[in-house]
Amino acid sequence: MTSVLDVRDLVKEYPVRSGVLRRVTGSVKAVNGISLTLERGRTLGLVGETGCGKSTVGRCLVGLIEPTSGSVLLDGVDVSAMSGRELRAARRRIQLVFQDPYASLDPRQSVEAIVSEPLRLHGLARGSESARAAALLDLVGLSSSVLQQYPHELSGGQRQRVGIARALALEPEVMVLDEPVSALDVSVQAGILNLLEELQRELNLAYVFIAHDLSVVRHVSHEVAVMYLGRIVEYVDADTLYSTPQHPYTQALLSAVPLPDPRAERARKRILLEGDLPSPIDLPTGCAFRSRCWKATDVCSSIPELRTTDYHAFACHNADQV
Amino acid sequence: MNPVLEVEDLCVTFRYREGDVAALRNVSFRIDPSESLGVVGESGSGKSLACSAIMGLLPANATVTGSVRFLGQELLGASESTLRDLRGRRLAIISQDALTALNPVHTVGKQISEAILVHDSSRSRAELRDRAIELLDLVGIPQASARVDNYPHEFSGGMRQRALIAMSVANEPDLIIADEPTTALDVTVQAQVLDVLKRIQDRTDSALMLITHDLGVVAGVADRVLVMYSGSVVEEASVDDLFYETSHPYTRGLLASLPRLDARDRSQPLYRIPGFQPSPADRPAGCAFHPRCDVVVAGLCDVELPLSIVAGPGHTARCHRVAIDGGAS
Repeated sequence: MTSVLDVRDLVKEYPVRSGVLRRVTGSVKAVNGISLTLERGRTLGLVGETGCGKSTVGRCLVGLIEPTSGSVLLDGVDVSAMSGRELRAARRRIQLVFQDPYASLDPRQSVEAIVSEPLRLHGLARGSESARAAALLDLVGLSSSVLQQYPHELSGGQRQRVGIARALALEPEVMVLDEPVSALDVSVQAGILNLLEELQRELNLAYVFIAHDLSVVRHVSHEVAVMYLGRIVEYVDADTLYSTPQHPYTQALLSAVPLPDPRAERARKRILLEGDLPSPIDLPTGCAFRSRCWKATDVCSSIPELRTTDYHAFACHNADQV
Repeated sequence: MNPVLEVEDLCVTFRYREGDVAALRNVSFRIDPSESLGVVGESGSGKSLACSAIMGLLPANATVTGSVRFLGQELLGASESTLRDLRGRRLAIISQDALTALNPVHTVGKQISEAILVHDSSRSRAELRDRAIELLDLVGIPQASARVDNYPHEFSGGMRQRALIAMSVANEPDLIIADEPTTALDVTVQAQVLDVLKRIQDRTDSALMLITHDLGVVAGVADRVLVMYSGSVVEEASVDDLFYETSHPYTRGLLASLPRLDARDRSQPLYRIPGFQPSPADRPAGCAFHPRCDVVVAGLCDVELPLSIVAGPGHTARCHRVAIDGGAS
């Protein structure tokens, strides 16, 4: 089976300017050499804390920002080498759902206009845009009475459904979901997560699910990649990640998630990380995590490779399995 | 044991041109010394409003009735100078957004010193500075003696929240009200901040009222929990009873709709509570939860507002079904 999405050595660098002349004095690697693979009908969770580069990866995938180097392949064809009509056609196949359903919908457009805009832009379903928009709303569990409403008349959950309908309009094969439920209350979140799973089954969609909430990621993902300061530190199927995490950062991250179970909480030993996330402008040499790692030794002054053993990839010199 | 805080029949009504809106309805609870009370609910449930009402920080179009007794003293209707004397000294608040809560043009140390100085003008500058350093050290800020001269923008999000905790406990308050103190933070930082909060509370013997939407945080921090829905407390229980002997259908629904890190079976879809939380302006008749409830009793739940029913020792639920079935289901 060929993978629908392949990301190879993706790098996104931003210049750092300083002084009165705003000269470029350095660079920040927001994404520092990331490779991912995704098959149809599967979900890849991309997790990490603020500033780890997970959203930058998402934006590079859909072409909202241009990667500095590396390639994004759809069905084995390099999107970064395309241009013009070919690129437009490829773009249709990978769509983005934004985090904030309040900010990502134009307040002056009706739901119908929002959902059918991608159709108009790509010249699809000419003449039957509104029928198509109604069908899309039906797909995401909204009645067609919503068509003539404006975003401010909708609840957060309904808005996020509109955002999903808009992303589905072009019948993509891959959806990049950037924190799709983090702005929602739990009871609403459950509805959206169930909807995403149904859509995946029905349409054989592949998801890149970007989130900071590890419980949500565990619920939806088949594979999970954990990011720390622009790099993937661990990449494995979801069950293995949660049962036997290898990278100390993953271990700390998992142990910090509060469990809705008082007895388990009391019995738990938390790994409390020391200090704060280092500035991406001024990374520690070698392993970026070593300034906060309780397992750090002298070998950590060299950058650990992401090594794979038994389908389990992790980048640590001192992991348990080594 | 005298409670630190005793709230009885607290109601908040907002006056609008279109009519009055009862945002908070008959909220009653107490917090004992050194106890941690968790208040959970989704957005719009009234949990933050309850906190503002207790602190006396409501806008002019709000009418408050009922009673809020703090260390035996009535706060509703108390003079502004009485409130000012209590706030920040015996009654501290930690807000969600530490960046806006701190003044950007003063150093962190100065702001902590000021919190002390307002209530105790006898201390010298050197003493205040030492105390600020001691407090920053207590909340786990590294190199506190150097960091005390930093401005808020030089602190990371987690450090700011810790500085805010340092400020709020500067006068060893009897009660700390923390309104979503870790919501804006990453999990590893949240774990650090909750750990600090717990250690501080142990040390100063303060009581804690923790307002959050995160049931996981409540499970780890609270001794007792209030669950709020549409302006009312729908369930009150010890933390164990709430999670293991859940009484109210809304609480049960919330717990079932959580994706779990410790889940064994992920193939099942999450439970979804149908519908939406009603706005306080158009609450349905009877129990506010009845249109979404899976055990609704027709002819009762849609007519009559349920009372607080005792479901077990120290455990109450506002639910007709609990009254019918007699306690925990």
